[in-house]
Amino acid sequence: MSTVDATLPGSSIFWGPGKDANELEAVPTVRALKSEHPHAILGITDFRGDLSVTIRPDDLLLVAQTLKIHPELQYDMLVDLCGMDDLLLGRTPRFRCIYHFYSTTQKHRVRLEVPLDDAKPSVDSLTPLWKSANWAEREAYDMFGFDFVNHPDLRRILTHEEFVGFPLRKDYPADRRHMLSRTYSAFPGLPAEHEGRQVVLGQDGLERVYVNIGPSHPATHGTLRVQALLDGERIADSRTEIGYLHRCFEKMCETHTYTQVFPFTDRLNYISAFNNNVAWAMTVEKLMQVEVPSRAIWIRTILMEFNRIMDHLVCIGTNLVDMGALTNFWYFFSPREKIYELIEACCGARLTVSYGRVGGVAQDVPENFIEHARATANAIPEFIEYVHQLATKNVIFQQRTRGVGVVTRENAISWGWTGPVGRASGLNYDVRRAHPYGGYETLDFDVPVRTEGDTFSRYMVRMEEMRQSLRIIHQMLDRGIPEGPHIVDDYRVALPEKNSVYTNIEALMNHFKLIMHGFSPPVGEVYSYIESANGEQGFYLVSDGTGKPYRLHNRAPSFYTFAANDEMLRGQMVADFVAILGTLNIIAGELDR
Amino acid sequence: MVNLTIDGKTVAAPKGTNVLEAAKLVGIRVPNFCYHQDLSWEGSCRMCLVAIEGRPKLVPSCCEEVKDGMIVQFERPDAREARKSQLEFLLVNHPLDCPICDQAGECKLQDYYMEHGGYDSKMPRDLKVHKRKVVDLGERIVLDKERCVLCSRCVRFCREVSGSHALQFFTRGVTTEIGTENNQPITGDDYIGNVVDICPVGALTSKDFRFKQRVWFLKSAESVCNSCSTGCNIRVDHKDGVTYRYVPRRNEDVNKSWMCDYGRDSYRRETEDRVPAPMVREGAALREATWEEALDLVASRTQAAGPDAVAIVGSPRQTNETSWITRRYARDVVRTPHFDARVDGSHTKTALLADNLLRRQDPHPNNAGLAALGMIPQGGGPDVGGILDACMAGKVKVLHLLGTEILTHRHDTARVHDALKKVPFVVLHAHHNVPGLDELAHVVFADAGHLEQQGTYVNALGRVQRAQLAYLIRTGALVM
Repeated sequence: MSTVDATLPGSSIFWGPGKDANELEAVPTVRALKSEHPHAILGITDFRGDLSVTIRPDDLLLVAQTLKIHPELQYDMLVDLCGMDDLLLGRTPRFRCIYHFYSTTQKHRVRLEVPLDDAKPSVDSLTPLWKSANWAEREAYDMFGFDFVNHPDLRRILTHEEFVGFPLRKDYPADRRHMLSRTYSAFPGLPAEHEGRQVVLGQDGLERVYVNIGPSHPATHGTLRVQALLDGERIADSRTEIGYLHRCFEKMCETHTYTQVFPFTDRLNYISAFNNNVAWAMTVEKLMQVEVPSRAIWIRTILMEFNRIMDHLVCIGTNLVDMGALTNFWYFFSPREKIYELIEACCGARLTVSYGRVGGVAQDVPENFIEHARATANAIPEFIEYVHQLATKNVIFQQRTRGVGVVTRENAISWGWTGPVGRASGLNYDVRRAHPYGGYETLDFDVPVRTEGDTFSRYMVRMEEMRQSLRIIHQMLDRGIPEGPHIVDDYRVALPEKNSVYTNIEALMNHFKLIMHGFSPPVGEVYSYIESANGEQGFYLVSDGTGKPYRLHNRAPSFYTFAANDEMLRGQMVADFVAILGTLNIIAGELDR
Repeated sequence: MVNLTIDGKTVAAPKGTNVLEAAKLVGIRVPNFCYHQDLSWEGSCRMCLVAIEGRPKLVPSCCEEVKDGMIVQFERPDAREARKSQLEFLLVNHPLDCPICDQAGECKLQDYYMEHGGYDSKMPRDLKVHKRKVVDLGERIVLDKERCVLCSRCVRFCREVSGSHALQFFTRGVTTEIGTENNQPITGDDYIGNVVDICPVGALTSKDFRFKQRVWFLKSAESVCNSCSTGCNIRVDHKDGVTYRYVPRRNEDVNKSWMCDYGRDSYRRETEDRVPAPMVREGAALREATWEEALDLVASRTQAAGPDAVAIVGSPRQTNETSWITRRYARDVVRTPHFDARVDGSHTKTALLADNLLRRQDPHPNNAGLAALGMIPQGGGPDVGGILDACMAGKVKVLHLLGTEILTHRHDTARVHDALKKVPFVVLHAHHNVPGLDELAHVVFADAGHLEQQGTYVNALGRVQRAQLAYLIRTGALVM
């Protein structure tokens, strides 16, 4: 069953009308699946433009293979994988595993829904086909208890080793705690004595040492742990352990209203907090079919680009610090401070802004915003130039970054890499270009792509992206700020003006219900995504019609980037790890959620 | 059955149903203020207007009986517009009270504005008509005349259900208001608490609940009132182990949408003066003990006394589940001939009404359950009166009482005290402190409250009803 929407409003909307049954037949994915696997399909829907196919669990591997290699489909990227517990929706079976696929060549998407058995939810692992399935399936196991058959290493990833139960299940109480009694090795099955610097004899008679890099470490920005087996200075093997900053974001959102989720999103990629706000706002706007006024879009896009610049400033600045080039850190944190001042003038906060709202932004920008923004934007190129002069052609920098941590294009796609790290490996995919939103289709900017896939190219891509972001900002500023409201005039989602709230009962009731009860969205599921500083950041939202989201999953680019870490590190030197980690820009808030 | 179409969906409804109820059958929630399932059809609020084919004007669906072939449109633009405008009219003089109004969170005006309104108001606040805001209408009700939308539900309730005619309309036009004659307090109506439930706005509020808690923080449990044998179905609203109110739950066959005020108040008994933990006598007084100590003591004394010297008395306040275990204990474990549960004569009055509405003369919820379980003496054993005589005669060494009604609900309390004093070991299951507990009991088992356990009760008409657990026990009590 699909919904056919009314006329599609302007380019500010990032969702499409649902297709009806006839139109669905013409979609290549539907055609191919119906002809190759007619008996596997349990249902096909198209809601808000998201194509979703429900298939039998036994057929998952074959269907996935078709999706990957069929010439018309070519779904080379498993973008996201998450679990669902439909217990409170009264559905049977209770569990589903949700897959989102993307084709970087055909530029189409599909969602697969696989219902799983209540008593023993189990399905084939997709790790043989896409490397990104590895950590994503571990997370679905951790949170829901799904068993992925033939997964190479199915163990918990975000919660600790002594955790009991599956926390995102609806019958798991949110306040149940489990204490961890001791540290464990990140290598499964390794005795605890090998925690510290233990020397072991390898089969070849050579000594190797287990060393913990992190979680407390000045160069792992955020609490990340890599337990490395060192062969001298080389990393012979490693296990990356995450979850130190896991704050059960997804579970908390189930007990808060849609607006109350905004402060939680700030704390995902906290280096560029506003981008998370907008990503979330767009998801709810897609579900509720809310049109954002052009003034709000203008504000959002400019601030998103400033946030992108901020993120890259931190990424490169700290990366260079880790390699010993301290001056560049100061050179980059000075313009970052100026951007903070601009954001503070808009909403009062610097880091965790909660400035986005469903339908626009929380409040209007100040009178002098254009001048202030222009001054801020004009102050930045100088610092980019300083760092470029100091670092790019510097012999030490070149030796530490060229050819270090090479990831091929195919590998990057298999790992689900998007954003600057993906583009540095030759994957020409930027959501702003491929699936425009926020007016990007009307703007002139280049998307830098390099082919070497090493640390140096990741640095270069980010440097160039900052220059391109400045181009976008100037174009938007030159157009002038559109007149109109800063948030949609829709009583379903936007708070009425305070003046009205105090003078008429309707506005008072409206305000009251929106705050205490939240929105009343339609029942449905959507996936919405933006190009955040680290790549495709998406939200998969399931609404049950009440004021609180039933389920919310954040597709975090850092999660998929970091999953490749162990493979990347094999054979590299410890110092290389530090250089590589900086360019991956792993933000723990986004990684662990 | 009558067949009609509503918004393109076919419905089959029994003859005599109104269109509003028929719409409910296909999931369409028609807004309404004056309509109530258990009151007469009024049609005055005009919120339920729908379009019916062949009719020149919109029709109030709450007063319109379904007819074969009727084609109803709820979502027609003019019907939607009418609902929106009607809401606007109702809100013209409504005060800006949401922040201080108890009804917030369960207010129809709020809900309907979000669902059917959404317009921008043009009413200047200074032009609103004002009325008296805090009118004390007696022990239970506070009236705010400004908030009233004149739906007449309370007037019809007092006329048709409780018969007290306590609330009436006064004056006319824009100054029309609800109230009592001279704003006198309401007395003599044991069902007046129900008007608070049916008032769709915050005009009539409960004095007991006023300002105590915001409703969206409350959790609910479905239970059964235990203050008489009618067993009205209730909803228990609680938070963090504290009950804030009982609200009647609709049951077509037992209590419709109503409950009496005694029942409403009875939630307080659940937390007042609780026995916190098992008590054991030491010298002249009772002291707290562990469950192990108390249970061991009772078990050893019961065993030592032998079956003929033990008497066990059940309780019509206990659930069927507890009573069943009591029966097993008495007949199969202890094997005493002294076993009865007809503690205070209330079982003879179980079916008798105390007023002409709901309340019955039997103040206990489960006499009928005890009868169904056969909790009476077998083989010629003594009834409760006989057991008391046996105690007086010194034949009973251990007396085990499953409740405290023998001390509180009998007329011959002096005789009961004398009899119990003669028993060397008295065990009582007590929920809260009662007079006589201190002097007479040797062991007190701290009982779980009605809301702290799940169980079933059988009401006066033989209906088995389930009471859900509201919250877990927070004292040292146990479900016995």
